[in-house]
Amino acid sequence: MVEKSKHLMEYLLIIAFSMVFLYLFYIFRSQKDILKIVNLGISLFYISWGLAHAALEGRLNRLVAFEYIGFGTMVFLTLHIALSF
Amino acid sequence: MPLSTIEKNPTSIKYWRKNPKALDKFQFIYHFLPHPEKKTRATLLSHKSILVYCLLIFLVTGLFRLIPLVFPGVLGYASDVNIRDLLTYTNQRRKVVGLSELRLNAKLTQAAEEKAVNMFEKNYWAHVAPDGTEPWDFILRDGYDYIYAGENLAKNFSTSKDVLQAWYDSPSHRDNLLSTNYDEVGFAVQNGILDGYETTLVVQMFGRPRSPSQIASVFEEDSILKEKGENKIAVPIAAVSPNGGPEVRVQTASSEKKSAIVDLGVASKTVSLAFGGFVGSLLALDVWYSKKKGILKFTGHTFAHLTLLVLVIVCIWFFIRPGVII
Repeated sequence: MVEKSKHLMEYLLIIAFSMVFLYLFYIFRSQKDILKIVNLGISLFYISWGLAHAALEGRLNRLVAFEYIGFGTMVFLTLHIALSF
Repeated sequence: MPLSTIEKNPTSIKYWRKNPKALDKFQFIYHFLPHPEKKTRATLLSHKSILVYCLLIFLVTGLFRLIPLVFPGVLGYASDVNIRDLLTYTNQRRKVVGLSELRLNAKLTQAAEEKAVNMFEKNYWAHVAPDGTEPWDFILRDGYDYIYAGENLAKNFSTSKDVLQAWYDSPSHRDNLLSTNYDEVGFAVQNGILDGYETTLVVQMFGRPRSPSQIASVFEEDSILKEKGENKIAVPIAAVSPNGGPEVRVQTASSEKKSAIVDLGVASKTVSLAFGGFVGSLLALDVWYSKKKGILKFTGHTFAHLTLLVLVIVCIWFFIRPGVII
């Protein structure tokens, strides 16, 4: 039960930050330079969240770390290509 | 059981030994679904695949940057921006907050056109030219004696409405749009090739003349709109860049729609959405299939990856529009 509520808290954190990033995208939708910084913020937040989450669960190893870093980078690049042109 | 029956039975190990291709076909599904025995994600979501995706995105970005150098004008931005709409939307915005309408001034319009042509010729995108020429230099050169003046710039937009919306959303540009210091405005909408991309530049110049008697009349405004309006056939202006670079093509974009062979805004957005959709679908499949088969994998959280990807797709789909303002 404790484990479940801990997960819930961590997922609530990621959902809350997603809402904040969505809001930032909405208010800066016409300023692509600012959106590029927000995009970087999204990726860095996600990588930190993933690493912290895995570490708290005692599952952090090289492969899990690579997965979060790789996925964060991929998502950054996906958004970056849409923002660059 | 006769041997021939065993060899046709897919539950028999001999069937798979005799039909290695069928085995391959069966294994193919694990490119898309998590493996129940190996307890791994789909091959297309493996670490190697993520690395390949990153490299692919780099490659596509590189192509979008390289193509304009080799084939200038192939990639660009489709545009249907015109002065009449820009003036109407500007004044609509001012009206909403109770401000007086701006009159279209011939000298400010001329200054805006010169600024746009100058940006194409010298291949820059800024308020101040590389040689230090400022917006006020264009205004003064055209004989507009002002007390206050301002400039808004936009490029790569599809419609006049999008241009105004972008300016309105930016506090510094909105300050210009809704300033009580200005009585007049001039616009330029110019097509050309900037940095190898076929694009449309929009220049908006504001001013208040030193003498109130200089303020443009309704007749002057009408004649400018007629001159720049729907009936005018655009005359291409040819110029060669001073640094001996590729030829700079500049064209007044009074009313004609302009479209490059490939619209870069649409292309980059499509690539991002298609890629995001593909990886998102694989992640959704992973969540569903793992739950269905009770597969516990020692990996990162797929649901978290999916949440992030959905966030990115929503941002691209709803908030990213072509166009840049400064």
